[in-house]
Amino acid sequence: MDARLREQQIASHTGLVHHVARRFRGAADYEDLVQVGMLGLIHAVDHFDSDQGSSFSTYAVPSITGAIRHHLRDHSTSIKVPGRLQESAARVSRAVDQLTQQLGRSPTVAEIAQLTGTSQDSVLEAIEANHAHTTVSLEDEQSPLGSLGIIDSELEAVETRMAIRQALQALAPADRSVIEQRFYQGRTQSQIADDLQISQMQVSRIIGRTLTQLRASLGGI
Amino acid sequence: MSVAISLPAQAGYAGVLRTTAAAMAARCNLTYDRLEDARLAIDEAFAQVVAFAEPDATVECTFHEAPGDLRFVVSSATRLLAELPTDSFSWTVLSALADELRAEVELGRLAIHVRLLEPQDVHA
Repeated sequence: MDARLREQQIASHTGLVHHVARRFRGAADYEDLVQVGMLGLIHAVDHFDSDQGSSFSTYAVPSITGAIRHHLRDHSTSIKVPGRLQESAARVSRAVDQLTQQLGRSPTVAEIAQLTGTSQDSVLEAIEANHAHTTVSLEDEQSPLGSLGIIDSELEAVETRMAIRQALQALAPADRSVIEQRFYQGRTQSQIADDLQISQMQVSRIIGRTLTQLRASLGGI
Repeated sequence: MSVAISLPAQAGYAGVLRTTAAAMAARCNLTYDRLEDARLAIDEAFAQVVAFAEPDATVECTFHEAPGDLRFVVSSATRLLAELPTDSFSWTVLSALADELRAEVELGRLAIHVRLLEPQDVHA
């Protein structure tokens, strides 16, 4: 592509970068997000093949989103959970696993409270603290695909399935395995935790984080 | 008993519902497995409703509490003209989490009904 055309192409789509960056506002410095998003846009400009039939926006949005998400993963500033809460989250996490072993089933909040010697409200607080650093981002008003009118264009069912498969393929293998076990094979979080020899709280964090990721990359699909 | 919450149709508010869903699951004496399912399900249902909401819409969420049985309905004015698509990943997730699941579009409102039951014999 000639350099002038490339410049033009990039300049005329910076709005798209801002649009995607706004969705992650609060997760990092906005200007940083735009800068990183621009790299995603440039990558898309350089790799877009108009013969494939899809529009440039459809092609560029995942590329921009991916660049930003990659940046956030590398520079994640998690919400600071107070030390007291961190401790009680760790205690609750251990209690969940211990009780699951003892009872042969997942424990209730009342049972966890009894074992840890705290109130049910404190247990709930600990569960929220456990999720705090996974729910930091993605404060979006609308999904970018939705407001670009892509959802409205009614993707064919086949394309939807393809998009889902691609989004799943893009996950880290360990994350993908957890998602597949939970949502396609109907296994519970405690069963998965037992298999992987990790705590159930870790499993629930993986699921929460991965679903947020998938939702961002799939838009409303 | 029922608890109702109104909130803006903006994804940033999902946390309010997650926290409430966890508290309601505890009130229903659901196990931790189901409590985590409830948090994910409300998140997913809310995201679906928001994705198809009218601009500036308000989302209504009502929780119904019973022993071992948590039901909630998430709804808002929608720009959907027909049924909610059920070939989405969101719907797959919701189907895996919920014991009962139903979406209806009626009089310009999209409502997603979700029910989570405690299958295990838990002595309160």
